Amino acid sequence: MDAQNISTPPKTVDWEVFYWQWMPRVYNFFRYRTGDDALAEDLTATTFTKAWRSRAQYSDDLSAFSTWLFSIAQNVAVDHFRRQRFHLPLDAVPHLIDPSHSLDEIVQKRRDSAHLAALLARLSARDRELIALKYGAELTNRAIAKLLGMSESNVGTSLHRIIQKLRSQWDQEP
Amino acid sequence: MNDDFLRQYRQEPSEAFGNALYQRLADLDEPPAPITLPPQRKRSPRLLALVAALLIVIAVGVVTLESRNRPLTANLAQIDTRPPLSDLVPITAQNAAQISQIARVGRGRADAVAWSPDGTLIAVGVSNGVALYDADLKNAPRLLRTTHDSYLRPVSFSPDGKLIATGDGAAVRIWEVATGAQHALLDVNPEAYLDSIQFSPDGRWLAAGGALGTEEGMAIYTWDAQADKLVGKVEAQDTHSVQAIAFSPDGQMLAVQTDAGTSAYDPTLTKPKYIDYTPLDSGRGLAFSPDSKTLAIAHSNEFVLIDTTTLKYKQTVTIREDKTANLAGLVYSPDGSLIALADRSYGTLTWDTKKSIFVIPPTKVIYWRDLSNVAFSPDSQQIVTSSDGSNVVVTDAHTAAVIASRVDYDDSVAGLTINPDNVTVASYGYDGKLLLHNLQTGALMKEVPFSGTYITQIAFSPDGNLLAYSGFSSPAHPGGAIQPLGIQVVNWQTNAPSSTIDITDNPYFVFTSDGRIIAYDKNSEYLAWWDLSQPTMPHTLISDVIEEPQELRLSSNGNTLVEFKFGDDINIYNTATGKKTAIPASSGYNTSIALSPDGNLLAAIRLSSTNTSLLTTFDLRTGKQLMTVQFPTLSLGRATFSPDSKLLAVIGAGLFDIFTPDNPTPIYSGADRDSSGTNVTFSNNGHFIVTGDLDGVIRVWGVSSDATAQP
Repeated sequence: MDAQNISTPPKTVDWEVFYWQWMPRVYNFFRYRTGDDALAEDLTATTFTKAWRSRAQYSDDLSAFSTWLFSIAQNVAVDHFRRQRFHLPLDAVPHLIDPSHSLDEIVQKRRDSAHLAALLARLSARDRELIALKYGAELTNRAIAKLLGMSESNVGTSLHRIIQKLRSQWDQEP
Repeated sequence: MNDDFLRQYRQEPSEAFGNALYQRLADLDEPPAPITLPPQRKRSPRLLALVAALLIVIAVGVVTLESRNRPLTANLAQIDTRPPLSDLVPITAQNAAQISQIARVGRGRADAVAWSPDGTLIAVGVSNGVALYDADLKNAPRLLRTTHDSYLRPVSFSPDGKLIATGDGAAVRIWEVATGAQHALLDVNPEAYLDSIQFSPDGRWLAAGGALGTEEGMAIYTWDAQADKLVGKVEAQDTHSVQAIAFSPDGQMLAVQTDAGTSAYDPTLTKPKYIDYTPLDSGRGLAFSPDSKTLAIAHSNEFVLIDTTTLKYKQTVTIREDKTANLAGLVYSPDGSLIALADRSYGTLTWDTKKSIFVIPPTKVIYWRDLSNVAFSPDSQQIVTSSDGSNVVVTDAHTAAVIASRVDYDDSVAGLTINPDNVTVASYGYDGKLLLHNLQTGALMKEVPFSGTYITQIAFSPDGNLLAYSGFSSPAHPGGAIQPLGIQVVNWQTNAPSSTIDITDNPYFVFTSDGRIIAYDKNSEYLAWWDLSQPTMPHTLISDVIEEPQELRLSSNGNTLVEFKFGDDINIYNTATGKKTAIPASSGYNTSIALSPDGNLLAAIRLSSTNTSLLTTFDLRTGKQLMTVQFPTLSLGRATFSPDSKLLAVIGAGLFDIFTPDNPTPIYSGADRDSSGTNVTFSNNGHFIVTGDLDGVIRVWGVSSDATAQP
């Protein structure tokens, strides 16, 4: 950042499109991270509020903005847990009433989701963050590595270990 | 690897939420705000208006000063004071309402860190108080105990090194370092939550800052450190909570950082001056140079240097051009030659103030990103960092070489069990550490070696001599598979392996009163028992179990066995006849069960489809449901019965309640407690309850004989 940025008019970026593209990822990052729908909404709002004012700096580099966005999201999560201290989410059972599915399918979906929420709740904070970035935010291993300052192979190895752990527990469910 | 099961947890946010948030953002809109403009900044009119509004709020918040300090006699509160376990009376339905937290065991998470002025001690603010380590970190720390449950624990030594102060919720607690005697307890607004503290370098003032009520409120207090007298107070709602504070070396200026920027105050907090209006999106940290000429302020990915005379920006230092850095702490070396930075992504960094270059650059992650604070040794040669886990690491300030480190749990208490001696508690963290603490003294007795990835269950044998645990191995190579370890049994006093029951899957197991182990044997698909002297020889107990149970409970007399799998019926077996009865999982999804020691009562925790948790009890003799309690949370963890089966304790996120099994009204309700539990268990003599919490602390609850003597 330097003084030149002040006089450089921002390029035309459709921030609304960007918002609708990335907001669900941030929301799901927090959902996987906290297991609480309402809290995920609150933390998503906090993240975007912090990022929104400075978004114009990233007009010419949206990929940097998305990285920065999740960097803020990570810290919003850290700050939340540091202050709130309440994070034993066995999670919300999602409100999935989809008329295209049978009642049995809906019940099974709820059952699976609640089961997975319980397993996620038993992960360490570190492991849960990796899972949240991978499956909630849907970031690539490379993007996660960049975000966390880890090597890409280290991210892959860590995720492999966590997924194995979850898989072994998941498979106990008939 | 099939990971579809993980993807199905994704859920689209509601359209209403998305639209509302977008509208809120649109309302925030303003001209592009420059983040850093060295050496001069243009200030947007809108920001200036915000600054003015903030100052008005602050000014309104400055009220008549009053002293609410409560100096205590020097020897009133020694280190580790608490009623001994022998003073506790059995917990009953009649006295359970008087239960209180009598002790906290373990160190808990590490937050702030400070090095004593003489260089001999390192103080770490932890969940449980202030841990005082020798500077080489070799010995177990002395623990100065606090009372408020919190992760955030600021620490500051007085300049002469004789006192140490910390925030304890809505109070500042000051101890004499040499004796551990409490010097003073300085109360503030009960709505305040202090997470920043500092003595002024001249020793004249003490300042503390934090949140007021919610995170939307600001609280700043200053005291005359000689008289423990309050001299300044700012309490302002609807603004930003304090992130960091720093005194200038001459003690005449107190810099206060919030999410809205940084202000400078005089020590009595009457003349605020806004000096850095950069909104913080993340990160924190403030420090004056030893010569008072420069104030360094951390922003998320950069820090700025401000001339304290002109309040102009002198320099902006970007940590990473890719904006991946996140500063959590900043400090000048005592000789002024270096600035050390705690970065959540890149660990500890140092920057040469004369050459304006990084000495330890942000090139690779040294620790995980939860680094929380940093401090210099008095000789400016070493730095110590703390993390939100419980790591304390001393490194060379120029080479980043690790000189010393201490690690307790890397995370939270994931499970625990009490030895039949009613003194020893075994617990494990999510990081695979298996620790033994003495509940009477609070001391860490030992760490039981565990080489695997994580532990899933622990239990003491009935005679208390053996400790059994199950878990998963470490991968043989990066990316390799982790394998169930079966049930490992060790003599916990000698660490000598006793037996290994080699079960293919990760087992949930129970000890029988005569020392056998019951678990699911996948090979035979039976519930089996093992004599520990013949661990390879399973004996069929019940053949009517086709899937490994999620949890298994056995009554004290061994006659009743209960098991369930997630979401399924709860099955109750008569172990003598093998007869099975079932409690259908007709509503919600069972997640945990508790069986009364007499085998007559069952408690089930279920997640309901209405985003609530249900605690339901059953009389197994009649099959009748006794009560159901609904909790407005899905974060109900575990339940446990008292040894006499007359009480039921339940724990979860922010709650800890005690019931009689047939009455949905709790006898004791700790719903407002300030921590979240993962495990709860009664002592074998029924005199106390132990909870394992997310902040890495084991808490002991009981009723002291003094309490029962009161009317």
